[in-house]
Amino acid sequence: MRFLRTLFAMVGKDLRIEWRTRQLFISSLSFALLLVFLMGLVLETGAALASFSEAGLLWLLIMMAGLFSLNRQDDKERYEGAIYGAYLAPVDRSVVFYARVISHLLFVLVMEVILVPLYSAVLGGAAQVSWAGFVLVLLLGTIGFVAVGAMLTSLSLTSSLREILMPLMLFPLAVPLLLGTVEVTSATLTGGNGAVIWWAVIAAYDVLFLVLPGLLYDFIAEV
Amino acid sequence: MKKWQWALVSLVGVGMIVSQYLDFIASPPEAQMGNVVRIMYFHVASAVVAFTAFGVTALFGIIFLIRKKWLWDQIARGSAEIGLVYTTFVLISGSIWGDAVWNTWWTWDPTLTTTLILWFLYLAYPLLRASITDRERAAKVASVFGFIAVIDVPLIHQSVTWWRGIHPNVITAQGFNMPPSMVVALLFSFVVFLGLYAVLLWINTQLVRDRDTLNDLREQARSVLAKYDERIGS
Repeated sequence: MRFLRTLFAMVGKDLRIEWRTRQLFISSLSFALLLVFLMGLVLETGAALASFSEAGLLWLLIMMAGLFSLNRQDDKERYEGAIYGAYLAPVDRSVVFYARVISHLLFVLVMEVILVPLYSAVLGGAAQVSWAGFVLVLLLGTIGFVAVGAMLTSLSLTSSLREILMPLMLFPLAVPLLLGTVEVTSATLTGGNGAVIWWAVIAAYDVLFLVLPGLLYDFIAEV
Repeated sequence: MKKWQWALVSLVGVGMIVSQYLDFIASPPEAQMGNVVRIMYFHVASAVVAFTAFGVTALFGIIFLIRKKWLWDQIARGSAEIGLVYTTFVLISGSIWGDAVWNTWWTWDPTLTTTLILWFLYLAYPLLRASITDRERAAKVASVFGFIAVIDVPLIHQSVTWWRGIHPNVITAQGFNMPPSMVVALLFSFVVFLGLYAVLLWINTQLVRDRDTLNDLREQARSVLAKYDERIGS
């Protein structure tokens, strides 16, 4: 019970800070929009992409924008050692990890609501999309990405090479997730539902990176 | 160095020479690939060392997290560096072999892709360590990262395999029936390379430990100097 209360308090704190400044949201979103624009520019808009490339680019876009905001959010917590204040909460320290996952998940999902329609307007060629599958894979894929990202953010918190290390650690670790989501998304863009095996990869990845960091968090949260 | 250490090093040295003989003279050229097949003895043995090294890094990282003894961390660190070097060897020798046999330097074969991803992961490992100034924190963070990376590797390999399984794969690695003399040469090179790994790990761990000691001494010297400066100043 106390775990949940602390969790909600921390998520609430993140959202409140973001709601009052909107800094992070606006900067990440403008970065993502810029990427959409640049992709449209170099890929010659009008020419429809193959569904696999369309899905692949979409996921790269989401991950880039997500990474950008993960790095920024992390800055906020490093500032004047705010993260150490959070560690003082008298509950299991993994609450810090789960709070970060939830608030960041909400953040990226809201960004996707704006980003995905724009992306499909600029680069999309899909005529018949199976929406249920598409939305579900978007959600599950984002959960996995945010979970592994939140974990790595905590790892690289005090590293002086953080900006370059984050992508270097994140993208190789996220390869199974990337392949899974791109395969499924590409299938949903052509009206299918994706192979069961890829859904299993995504699910396994989500579970792995939601459970494992929770267990290991005590080691890295020690100050 | 103690006597048994000299013995181990000389044994590996002699083994290396014998291995060269087996690889280049005693074993026959392969029916289709000809002499190019001799890259295998270096390539596959390097891969064995690389995977062993990363396994050792993950294992000793976890032991360090539980037992909190510096030696375990130093072994993990030493092993990761060797693993990175050998993964590089694997990728380079594999590319040369691939160019000769498959007529391409690179293909998105599952094993190749996994190895490349592994290389990226273990490139991050020393960078992560070196960029964190607090030694204890660096050790903990790197141990956790090493563990996660090794847990993720089977998932990476499996997903990449399925991914290539669905797409058309133009070039596949054929399994080859090897005559006994080739098997002997290959197995022997495994043993020798793992022996070399043991020697390198032992030397590198010592090196890492010396580096840590040097840093500690520097810290001490700095604090002594600071006190001295204070006294002069007052």
